[in-house]
Amino acid sequence: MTSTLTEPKAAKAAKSSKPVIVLRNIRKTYMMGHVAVEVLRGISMTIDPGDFAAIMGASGSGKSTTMHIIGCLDVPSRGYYWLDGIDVRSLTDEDLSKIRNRKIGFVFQSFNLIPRLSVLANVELPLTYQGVKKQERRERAVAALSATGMSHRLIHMPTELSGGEQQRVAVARAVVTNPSILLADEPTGNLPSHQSAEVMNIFSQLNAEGRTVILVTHEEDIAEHAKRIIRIQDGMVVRDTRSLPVDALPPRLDASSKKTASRPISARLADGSSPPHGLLLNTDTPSESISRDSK
Amino acid sequence: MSWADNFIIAIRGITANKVRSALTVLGLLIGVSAVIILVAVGNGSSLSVEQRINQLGSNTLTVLNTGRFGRGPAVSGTQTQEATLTMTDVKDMENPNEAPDVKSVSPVVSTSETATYGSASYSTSVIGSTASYLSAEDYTLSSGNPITNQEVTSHSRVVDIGSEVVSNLFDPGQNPIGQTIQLGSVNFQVVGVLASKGSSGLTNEDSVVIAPYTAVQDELTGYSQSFSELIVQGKSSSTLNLAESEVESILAATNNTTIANLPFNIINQASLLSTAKSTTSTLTVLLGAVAAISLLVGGIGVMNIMLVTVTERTREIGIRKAIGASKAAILVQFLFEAVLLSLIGGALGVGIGMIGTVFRIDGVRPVVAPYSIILAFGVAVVIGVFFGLYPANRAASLRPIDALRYD
Ligand SMILES: Nc1ncnc2c1ncn2[C@@H]1O[C@H](COP(=O)(O)OP(=O)(O)OP(=O)(O)O)[C@@H](O)[C@H]1O
Ligand SMILES: [Mg+2]
Repeated sequence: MTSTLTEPKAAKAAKSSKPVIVLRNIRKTYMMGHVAVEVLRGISMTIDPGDFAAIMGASGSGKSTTMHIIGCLDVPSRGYYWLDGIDVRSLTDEDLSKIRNRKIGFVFQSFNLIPRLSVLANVELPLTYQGVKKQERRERAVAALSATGMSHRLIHMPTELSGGEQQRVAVARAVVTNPSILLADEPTGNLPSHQSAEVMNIFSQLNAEGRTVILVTHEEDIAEHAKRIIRIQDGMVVRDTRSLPVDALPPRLDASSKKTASRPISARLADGSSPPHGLLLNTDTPSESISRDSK
Repeated sequence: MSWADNFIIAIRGITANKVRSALTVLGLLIGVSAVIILVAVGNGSSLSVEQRINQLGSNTLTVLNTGRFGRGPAVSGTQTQEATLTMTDVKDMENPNEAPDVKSVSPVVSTSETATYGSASYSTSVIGSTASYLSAEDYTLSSGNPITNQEVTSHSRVVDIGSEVVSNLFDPGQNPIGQTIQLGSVNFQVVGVLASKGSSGLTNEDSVVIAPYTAVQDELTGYSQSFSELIVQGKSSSTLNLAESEVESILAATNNTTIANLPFNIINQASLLSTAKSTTSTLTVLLGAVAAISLLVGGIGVMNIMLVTVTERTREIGIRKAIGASKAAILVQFLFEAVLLSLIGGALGVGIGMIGTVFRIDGVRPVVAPYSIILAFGVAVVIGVFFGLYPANRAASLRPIDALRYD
């Protein structure tokens, strides 16, 4: 039942064949008073770079918990998680901050925008923590917001937006850093179908450029955008089906509908930013601050 | 991140929570300005009390007749009589053999009279004494002559009048010297005008008429052996205590009693001054303590506000960490916020404190003590920074997901 069964051997460069995410036997236990509740009961999965996976499952099955662990926002109670081949338990708080900042884009199920900052300031924030200069920061944030159709709401406060609008701002904030891994927890849950299609098209385009995308969804037709569907039930992976190989184009990519389709979306999000993979942890990109040697 | 970015993030944090920021600033402002104003008031009243007592002259003793009975316990039921201050006492005290440290003794009879000149009248206190009274009480003349001992002996009806009496009886520009005024219904001739001593608060020393005691007894109080008080001038303020004990022995002898049972009150200006100094410094300490408490309360208010908003801020910190802020970046942000807020609060507090000390408070002109500014400002900044950073540090140490879930 692991992904390797259905995965065709990657015919691409050796670099991209190395899995970017490996979960082994991840368990997560919460203490409810004196009762221990085991929410994840041995989750294992392997995600190769450039994959596009949809995680599905009933409410309360542990999808968000899994995503938080993958996003380095939470730690498992037991089990192993290798990110780009590095055991995340060996990383310091500082390293994890850098990974969250540069390598991973996360769309929260509950958006998690900072309520007292404007839409623009919210989207700029990850870039601020990267030390991007003000002018560039603004341009990239506006680009990300126009990609999600929110450029007309720059100076609004999050509380002045509808749920769907907040969701699109949250997506813009996740993609603004041009991350190599995009994790989205029900990113279209509050959107009408045409806006879902737009957001999914952003994800498809980023994936077409080689970025890894994992999203949680309840809707079958959203999951159809992915190359692979992982089903979770009661804290365990119960089914893992692949419909397309890792290096294929995403199935529902609709490049023609975009006026700006002549340029890759990542170029529109960020001119000249880092390559999709090996962003942080590979020794062949010494410009990035974390390398294996420094560990 | 650059300093400019940190600064912008901090400013955004401050302006995004206007009420919280305003309350924090207010708490610090009140504490700081209270310290500055109260210490300045204490300081100012110390100085003014010292000044007043210095005005009284620091080398005089005042022997007050309190109307108590003297001459010791009655031998038989009829011998007790009221103790008096008499001319004999004055002569004894002026005797350099008996009281070598006494420079002069001025007997005083006093009363209140309405002074009239033409149609103007003014109620004033009348002091009958001798020539030495003026120098013992630090009076100087702005014009005319002091009363002389010869005038005392000759029972002359002449007066030196205080500046307040002049301004109430005479037209501006009119020379009072040589004029005749009535005290009650008796005519006295003005021979001198006293220079103003300013109000001492206790009594108005410019609303006074000084005449030979003989004339006052003749015309106003009626003749009596007894004086209401004696003003004893010591040779110097350092030997005033010696003079005091000499005066005490003389009085004990004439009244047939012991020093401990003297039927008079003796007020030593030098010891009055030191008592007053210690009283007013106690006052300053007390006011300072009240102010320190208000600064503390302000600090607790700041702490409260910081802790109350910890939920909101913890979520915010969770979000910031989730999108890649390091713990250091968050601490720097909150440090900036806290420093900015407490600098603003402290500076406004100093400003308001300085403005507040310009006004007279209950007749006291506050005098700002520089140490109070430094102390209050320093404490305000420390409180602001500590209570701003402490909750932030706790929240920034959480895992992002735990911070996000916090409520
Ligand atoms: N902090 C926590 N303390 C205790 N239990 C928790 C905590 N967080 C999550 N859980 C429990 O873990 C289980 C899985 O939660 P999770 O959020 O991962 O579900 P989900 O699959 O994302 O559901 P949904 O589709 O509704 O978002 C739920 O039963 C939830 O009650
Ligand atoms: Mg969920």
